[in-house]
Amino acid sequence: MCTILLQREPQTQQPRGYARSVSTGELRVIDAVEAAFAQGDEDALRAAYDAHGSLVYSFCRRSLGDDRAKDVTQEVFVSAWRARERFDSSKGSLAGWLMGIAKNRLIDNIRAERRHASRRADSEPVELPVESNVERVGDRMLVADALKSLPERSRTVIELAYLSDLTHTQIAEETSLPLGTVKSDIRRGLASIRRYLEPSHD
Amino acid sequence: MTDDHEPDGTDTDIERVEALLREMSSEDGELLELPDDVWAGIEAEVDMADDQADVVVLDRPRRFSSRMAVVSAVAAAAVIIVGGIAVVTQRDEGGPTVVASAELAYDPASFDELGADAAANVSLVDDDGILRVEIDESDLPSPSGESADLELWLIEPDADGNPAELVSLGVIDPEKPGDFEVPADYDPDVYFVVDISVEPRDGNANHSGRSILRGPLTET
Repeated sequence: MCTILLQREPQTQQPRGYARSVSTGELRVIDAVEAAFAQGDEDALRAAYDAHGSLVYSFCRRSLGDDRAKDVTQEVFVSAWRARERFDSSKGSLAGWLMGIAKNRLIDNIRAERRHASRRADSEPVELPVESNVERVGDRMLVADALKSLPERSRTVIELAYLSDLTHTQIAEETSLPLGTVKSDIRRGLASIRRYLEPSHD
Repeated sequence: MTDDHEPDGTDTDIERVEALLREMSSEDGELLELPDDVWAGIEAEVDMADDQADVVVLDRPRRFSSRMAVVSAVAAAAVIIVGGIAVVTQRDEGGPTVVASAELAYDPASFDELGADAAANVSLVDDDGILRVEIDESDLPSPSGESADLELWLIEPDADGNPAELVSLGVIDPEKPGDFEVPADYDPDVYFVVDISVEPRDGNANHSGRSILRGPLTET
């Protein structure tokens, strides 16, 4: 029943292909938190909370009031800690895993609220978020968070490509980077963001 | 698309990232400051859980909330049934197996009066090595009027029947109690008293001391 623990050791593990170049200093720090977390190092829980608590809480606040959002944030970290042996950093980031737990809790909450609301037949219908929206918001917040942790150049290029909708050629002109660099920055950046997301549902 | 366990993901994953980037709004990147009291609740609960890793000393001073002592006396009566549940994982090929059950009862002397008319029967189910507490039959009050939840706990009693350690299994929806996974590190042979409490939504993850139902698991 206990999942095998995979430690990420950036120094010794041979990253393949362009994964090598996304191991910036910043991402290594996160990897260290992930490894320590999975090993049950208590300081790592605090480090994980410092690194991702605000993300989890902000996500909860998108569909809950302050008190419930605080409760759910606590539940997420406590559950994550109890289930830490199931965290597998080769499948995704700690942030993605925590947000996955938060999604489930939020969806449970919405369903409970809906059951309560449906019994109050005489009252006004209450506007409640839809499960799929909660998932989508969580994914977008993770992507936004991952984007912030990318190296400056990679982030700029991705923002120009997807938020400003420029073509690769236009980005090359805008940034004075060679077209090949623009393309490889985008490819690396997307791969790095993808790793940050929780594993997609098979 | 080649599939040689490329760690950077499939094209589908990358397309998913691209779609999310395109629909992102500035709100998605705005992070709120964490309220100060959130960490304390996490720490309190995790500290309790870590206790069970220590060598078991029965008369060790209790570290959790003194409120707990108020409800503890009642456990004494229940706890005399220290049978030992012996959750030997019977791994026959079949599906979930009920290994123990408990009838939860209200104690008018020390329990929260919200539980006066409450009742519940629970089973401990072994589902291929994963243990779950299932609430089979229940008539549970809804504490939502006072902004509180019902919470399910497993308690390890000390030699006097007072709670020595406890672990939360989660918040119960009174309308649909369902089942709760027992965290891997907790042996229901040791944490064998099932407790349901009223927990105000006050950010304090400790047991409130307001139990409404309690009963020991006994082997079936």
